[in-house]
Amino acid sequence: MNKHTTTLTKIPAAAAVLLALLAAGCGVDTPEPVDLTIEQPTGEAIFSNYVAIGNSLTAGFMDGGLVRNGQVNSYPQLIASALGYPAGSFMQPLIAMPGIGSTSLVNTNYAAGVLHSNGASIAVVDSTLRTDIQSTLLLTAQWPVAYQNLGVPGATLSDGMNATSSANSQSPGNSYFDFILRNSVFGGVVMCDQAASLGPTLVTCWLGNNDALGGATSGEPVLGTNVTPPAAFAVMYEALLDRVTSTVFARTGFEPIIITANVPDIASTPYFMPKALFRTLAGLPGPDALPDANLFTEADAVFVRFPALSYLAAAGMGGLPLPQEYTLDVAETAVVADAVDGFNAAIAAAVDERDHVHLYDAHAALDGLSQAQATHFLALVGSGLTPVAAAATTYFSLDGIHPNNRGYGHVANGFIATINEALDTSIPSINLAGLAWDPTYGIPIDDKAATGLSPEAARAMDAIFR
Amino acid sequence: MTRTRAAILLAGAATLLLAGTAAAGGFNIYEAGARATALGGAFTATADDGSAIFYNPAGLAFLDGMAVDLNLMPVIPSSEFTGARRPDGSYATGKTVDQSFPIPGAYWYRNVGDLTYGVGLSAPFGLGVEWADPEAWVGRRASYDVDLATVYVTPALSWKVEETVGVAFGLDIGYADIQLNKRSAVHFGTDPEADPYVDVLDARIEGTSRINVTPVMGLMVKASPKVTFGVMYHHQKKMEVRDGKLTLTNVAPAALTATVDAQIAALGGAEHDGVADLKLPHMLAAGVAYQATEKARVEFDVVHFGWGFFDELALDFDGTALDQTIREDYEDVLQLRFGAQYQVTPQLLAMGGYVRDESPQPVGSMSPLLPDASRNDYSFGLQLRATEKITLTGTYMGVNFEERSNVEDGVQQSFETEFNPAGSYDSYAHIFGVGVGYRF
Repeated sequence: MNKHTTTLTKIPAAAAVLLALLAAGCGVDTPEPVDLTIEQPTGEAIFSNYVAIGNSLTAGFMDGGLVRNGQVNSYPQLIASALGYPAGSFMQPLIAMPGIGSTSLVNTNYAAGVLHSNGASIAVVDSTLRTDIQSTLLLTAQWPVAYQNLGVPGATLSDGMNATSSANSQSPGNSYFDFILRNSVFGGVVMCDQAASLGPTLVTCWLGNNDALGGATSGEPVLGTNVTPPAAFAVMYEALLDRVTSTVFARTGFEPIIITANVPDIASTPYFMPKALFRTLAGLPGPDALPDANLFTEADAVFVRFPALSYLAAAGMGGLPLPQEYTLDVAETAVVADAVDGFNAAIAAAVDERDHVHLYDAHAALDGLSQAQATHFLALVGSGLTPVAAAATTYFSLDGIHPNNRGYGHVANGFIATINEALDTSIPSINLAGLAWDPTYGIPIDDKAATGLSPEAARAMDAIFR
Repeated sequence: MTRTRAAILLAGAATLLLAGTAAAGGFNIYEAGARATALGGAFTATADDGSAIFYNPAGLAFLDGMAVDLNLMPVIPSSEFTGARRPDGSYATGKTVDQSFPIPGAYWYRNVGDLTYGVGLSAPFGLGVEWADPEAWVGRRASYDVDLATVYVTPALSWKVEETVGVAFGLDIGYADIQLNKRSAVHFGTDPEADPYVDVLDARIEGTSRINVTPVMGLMVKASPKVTFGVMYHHQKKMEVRDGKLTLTNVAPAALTATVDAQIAALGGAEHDGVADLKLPHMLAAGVAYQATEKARVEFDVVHFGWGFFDELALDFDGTALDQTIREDYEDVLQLRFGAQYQVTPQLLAMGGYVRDESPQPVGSMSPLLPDASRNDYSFGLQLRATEKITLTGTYMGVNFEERSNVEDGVQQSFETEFNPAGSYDSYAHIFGVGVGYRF
């Protein structure tokens, strides 16, 4: 019995030890991480997530301002529609009427809206108190993530990588940065990183125009001051493409397809008028009666900027010769042309080195427009077309530098053709005939007179790139 | 607020009801008594203490007198998660907090002639998965804390039809209590290095079911002095939660606080009543026991779980925008249970067991709510007859889950992939059982 008792006391003790050993030896093994197979999107999957970066041309800027009427015809929106995006699903920073153009000439607390042809002249539709812009005009202010159209009017190539607000952009005071990049909500993320944050499969990139236009539209282009040196441009361009690519890759595991566009010649736009056209539109006599030396401060002027018409209308013949900021002389034209050539060489080289990047030759596409398509609405009317016919002919909007609906359709078709060729896809092209442009914004055109340019409208056009 | 914006928030609020998946899974608890657990639950053809009311009430027919068996089996589960590698090589990890769930098994029975009647209290289904560091837990938008408890009160009557045959009938009077917590997120922000989602709502769902009554049946046949057969059946249950409460809490970052508040208001407030049905499977066990020697006995059981009944979980709240049906697609499974015991001394009984337990959960519904997997269980225990009237039982069971990933061939197989993270789980549960029996 005694022995028995001993056994009985030992067994539970032994069991307890065994139990403790077992419990200690068994447990969870931390699993090793598994790998997900991430496949580079191909075919239609490439179109599933499209994002556009760029400047005013990408934003759908038209008639001297950004407003929904123009934005719904931005080339990114037209591409998205062709890719099958349902209406309203491609997010843009939509702006309500009267839109946002420039500082009002009348009261600098106000931002002028878009331009329109009111039958007598080109005028500003209306103005908005600047402090109310974001709260009253930005229709998609509450969108919780980056816009898919991240085009910021005025943005340079450098701004695409470095600017988070108007304050640190290359055009201080340009509030487009503030309400498109929405620094106040997102805490300061630059355009290209906002694009990458969406994990896009397809990116269009059209930057660089303002690196030359900034100087050209000032009338006094100076390399390194208001025109980006091409060598610096080349370095930045590669950095931009690689930054978008690597950021998207780190996030998603695949590289986006990037379609870039190069920089058009300033001579492609009606804003830069040849001397002869300027004389005609301004009702001036020929060089025999009014020699260039008397007409222009820069006697060897090549191009006259469109706002010169307004200047002349106000100042009269006593304002001659035309101040130098209204013209580009031979040397200035060369500075801009050389810069554009340099940019386009850099863009072509960067594209060549990257398999996932493809080039839309916007330079060639705009050069290829017909004379009439590249002529300003006012000039077409002046040459005898009815306003309705003129509106149906030109590819440019009233500001003379940004396309109108049909012009953006032309650009979109260029991008689409590039995509189809690069990826062997068959995205349908845009029917340009369906993209009617109404320069009156619903106000009937007086068939007899639409040739003027109000001072405020000229000022608005002048301020577009500042 | 734009319509699109509203739609996004609404979707976010609706997805939080995925948390209802908490009521899903291979969450059976077959450990209803310390002795049976020591035998790996292979007890259908043995069923010789009060826990027979759960394992096979027909076993009561062969018991004498009156007795009480009280068992407490703390289950201590733990799980770890390792996320799939991200493009940059990093991966998420997570582990559950230390918790212990004391599973009860309390039984009373009394024999009168050929009849034995009794009543038991058990908790055959339950779940508790609470992930540590819920703010950072990668699966928090599926679940960060879930608790499910069931209580069955089972009165049973057993009739010894003849000396070697017992039959029994009883009722499982069941009740369930559910609580689950998760985060709801929306796309917000533009920091390309950060999570594209931002948590905006915390959702807590609580509810208790109505009382549900279903039948229990048992049969035991002592085919020979050495061989006994047993069969038991617990009917499936549809636990009807009719007092469910969903509570939404705004946890959005400052930039979104007002928007989310407005959205909560648009949904009708922070509290919502809801109903849901929790489907619990039937249990059908068949066992054969063999008395090899006077001291040694072995048993082999097959248990069929009707988990196919658990096809979906429909959550219906007072705002239709919050309704959600969650796909579960469980499958019926068979468990294999082996038990052996040896009478070391007249006072001391040694027991051991092994269970092969296939998971009923398809890979598609694995989630942080319940990362189920097939298991191998090992058990042993000792029972001491301390006095003529008192028995003491101590048991340990180790439940070893197989490591399981929701990623197969490089592709996440989950039914829902937006908030259910890709990766692998491993789990283990310790079960310590103690039992006290008193024969009057």
